[in-house]
Amino acid sequence: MSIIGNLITELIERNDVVIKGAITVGLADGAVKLSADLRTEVQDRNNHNKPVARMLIPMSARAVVDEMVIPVRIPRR
Amino acid sequence: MSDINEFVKKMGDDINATLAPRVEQQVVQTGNQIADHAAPQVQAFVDQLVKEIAASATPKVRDFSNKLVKDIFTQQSGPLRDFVIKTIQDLIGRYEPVLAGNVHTKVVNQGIQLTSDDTRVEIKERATGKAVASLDLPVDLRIDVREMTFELDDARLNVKAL
Repeated sequence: MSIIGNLITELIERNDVVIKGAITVGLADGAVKLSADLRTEVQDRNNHNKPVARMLIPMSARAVVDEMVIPVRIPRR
Repeated sequence: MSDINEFVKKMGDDINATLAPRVEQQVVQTGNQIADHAAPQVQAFVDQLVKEIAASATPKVRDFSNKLVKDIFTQQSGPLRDFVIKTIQDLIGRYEPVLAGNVHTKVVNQGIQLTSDDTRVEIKERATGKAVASLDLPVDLRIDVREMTFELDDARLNVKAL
């Protein structure tokens, strides 16, 4: 394995990725909407979990739901 | 589209057409039985009364009428009760209620909307399946669904190199 490969492997293995934040699910006209603000932190496990890098990940998603028709018959045939 | 008045009228018409002759027959039969039972006793009582038309007649009239009414009610209560029970059983057996239609469900802002223009209660003859009456039940219902928030406290990813 190359020096760079070893370096990357060690970097990957000594760091943890910690995700915090809030995910919100709600209903909008004809859709289910999802939004989130996630804070991601890379921590050095060998150095008392010292933060190495931080990322903010805003998310917004929308799943369209069509009208559903439910046939009703009581009692069943 | 039929409203509650039309629904009740149709049910009434059908019940009337089906049961009226039987009720009439039962009433005539009960009347005949009462007459058959009471007439000889009335005749005997009148004969006796004519003979004893003195001042002592009043308590006898009272006693006789009390006894006659009690006898008739005792005798007719059984057949009348059986008739009513049989009539109710026949009604339940004759009609079959059915709820039918299509409910449209859609997602709206902060809620779920349920609507239906063709949902109805149908009363059918159980034997033939023929519709007797129908009552429309329009549905317009909204279920509020608030936003839900999930707090992600601490999701820790530990990556292992292969």
